[in-house]
Amino acid sequence: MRRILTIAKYDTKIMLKVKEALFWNMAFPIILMLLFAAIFSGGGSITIDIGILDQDNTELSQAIVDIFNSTNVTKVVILDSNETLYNMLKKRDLNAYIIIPEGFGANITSGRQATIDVYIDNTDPNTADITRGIIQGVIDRFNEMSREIIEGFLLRTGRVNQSMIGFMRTYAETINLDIEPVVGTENIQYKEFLLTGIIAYGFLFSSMVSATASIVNEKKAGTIKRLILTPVRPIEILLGKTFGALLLTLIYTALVFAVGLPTLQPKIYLNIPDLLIVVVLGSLCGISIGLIISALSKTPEGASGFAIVLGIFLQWFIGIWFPLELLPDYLRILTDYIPMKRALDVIRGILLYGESIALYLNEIMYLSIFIIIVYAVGAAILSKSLSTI
Amino acid sequence: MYALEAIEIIKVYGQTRVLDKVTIRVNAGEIYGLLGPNGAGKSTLMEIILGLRRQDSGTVKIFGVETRNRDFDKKLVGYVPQDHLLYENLSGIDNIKYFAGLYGVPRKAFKERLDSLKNFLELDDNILKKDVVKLSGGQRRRVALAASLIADPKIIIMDEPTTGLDPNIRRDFWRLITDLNKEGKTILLSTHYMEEADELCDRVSIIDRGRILVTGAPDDLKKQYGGEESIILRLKSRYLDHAQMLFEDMGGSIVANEYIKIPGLNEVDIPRVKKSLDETGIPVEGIEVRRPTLEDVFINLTGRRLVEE
Repeated sequence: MRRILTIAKYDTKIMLKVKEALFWNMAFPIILMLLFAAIFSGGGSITIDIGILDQDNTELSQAIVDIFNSTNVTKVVILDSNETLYNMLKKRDLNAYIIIPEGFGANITSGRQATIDVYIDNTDPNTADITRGIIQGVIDRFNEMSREIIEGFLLRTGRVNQSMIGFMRTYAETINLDIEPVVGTENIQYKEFLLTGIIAYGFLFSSMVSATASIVNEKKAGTIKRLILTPVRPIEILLGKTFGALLLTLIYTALVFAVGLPTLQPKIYLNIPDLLIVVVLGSLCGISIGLIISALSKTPEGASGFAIVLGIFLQWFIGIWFPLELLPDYLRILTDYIPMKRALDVIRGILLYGESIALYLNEIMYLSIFIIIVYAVGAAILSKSLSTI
Repeated sequence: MYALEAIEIIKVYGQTRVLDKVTIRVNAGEIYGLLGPNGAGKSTLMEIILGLRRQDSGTVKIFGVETRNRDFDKKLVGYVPQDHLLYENLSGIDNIKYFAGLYGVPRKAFKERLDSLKNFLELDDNILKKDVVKLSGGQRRRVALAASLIADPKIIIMDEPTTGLDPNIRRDFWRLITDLNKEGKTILLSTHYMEEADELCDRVSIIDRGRILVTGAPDDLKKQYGGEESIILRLKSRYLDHAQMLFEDMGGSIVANEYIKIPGLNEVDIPRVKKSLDETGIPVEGIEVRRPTLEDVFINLTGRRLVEE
């Protein structure tokens, strides 16, 4: 164990002393995080202009308007003409408008299907996606609240008495709103999204690229000869280097929080023990891929180059910089196989929604199996190549 | 028991046999040299002895234990490579500490050993605190040597340890090698510098094209294969032909259109040669006695120079 820790200690020391690598692996993503947060957050949330035509004018339709008004991401304009709304949308004064038709409230209270019509400006697909997400969020919230509203409404209007409510609870279906299916996004500001995403950047660069570089640089500089000549076994060399890259990723993650928390002041649930488990797993995924790259590449330059290109490529497909919902379906399905994406999903669940890691057993299993298989294959090939030069 | 034995080593790359049944046996406490030109197979043999490469056949034993054996104790062997092979971004002391950790040197023993090495290799704290990348060539060699010696190996294998060093630093390094040997270390060194082998080694194997040509003490090899002593006359080129005619019956000949070589003569014959030149009015620019060197041994055995121009 002493040998493994010795390798880990000095490997980390070497990596921390290479200023260029330190900049690109640690400082650069944090600078980007601050820059992007400043550009895209604008110090507050995105504001979506939504027009509402309430033709129903009941307590239930008013509840929808109230929910829209209560969010800090929408600016609601109440209008009385369909034509006015359409013209405003055309002139891009609105991002979307909603018509709550007459009979909406009655349909709900009588258990029939209720419908609202949503019209979205699709000129900018990104904004359109965000708009859909926000509207879906409001509708979801309405769905959650509706049962109590209906009950209250029916009691107040005298249409039912208290004894009937118990009976209603047994048969009343959840209210379905006939709205265009949309991609859901939670009401999260970009700075929180970015802060959590940038942690996964470490899985690619502090873990994957550093692990690759650590092994291939030894071969390139010839120092691997000296390591082989010591009593250290090849597997100890690999474990030492794994711990080194892991330590580097933990330092990087700590740095992200040290800079990100005071500057961005994100609203996150800081569950350190759960986060630590996922960061370790995500980092080990990156390190495992790094081992495979080192094992299969013919030249040190080729290995380093490939790891960097893969890191640059993967960062766009694991959800660091933007929601993967923006990707076309076929790409989004593929991203689900990337282990670092799964790790990031869990990180966001923990940090953004305050969820426990226990809710993500499937993801944890996926990550663990990936690590065991890929690390074992990489270690087997590398151990063989490390026994002689 | 030999300190080191490489027996009948064969190594083939493609169609080329880079080592052809090479055998060397190094006694404990001696400095043993592998002398040969670049590409002779020295480094390959060193790497096979160290276990860095696998031989196609043959056996390597260190103090009687096969190096492939699980019981073989790697701490017995220290390695001083041609290019120092240190971690450039670490300081000298960190490099030494790193290897001490890998060899499992206990803390107390490390301190004692480091103090002794600092003294022996003239390494002060100023050098040791600097990153290796900032050290001079000679300082790097000393740090590399310290890293190799920190586990106190019994045998030190040096692969062309002075290549690339300037002559003064090379001489300092020779002194260190001799001192290490006096401390009881067995040393196997490869070199293509014949002076180095001549000056340092108790025994030398001359290797060429993957085969050991001869093995023995440098003086014995020179006596046996180096040819006779000779007198060398340095003259202006216009007098070379005349001088050759003058010493023709003594075997005098023009060498490389630069000087006259008269074989079989030594210091005793210089006055006689000088007198002959004076009598014929040939001015002499220089006169010296040349004794056979390991270079001559190599030339006589292979027909080629050790270091090709």
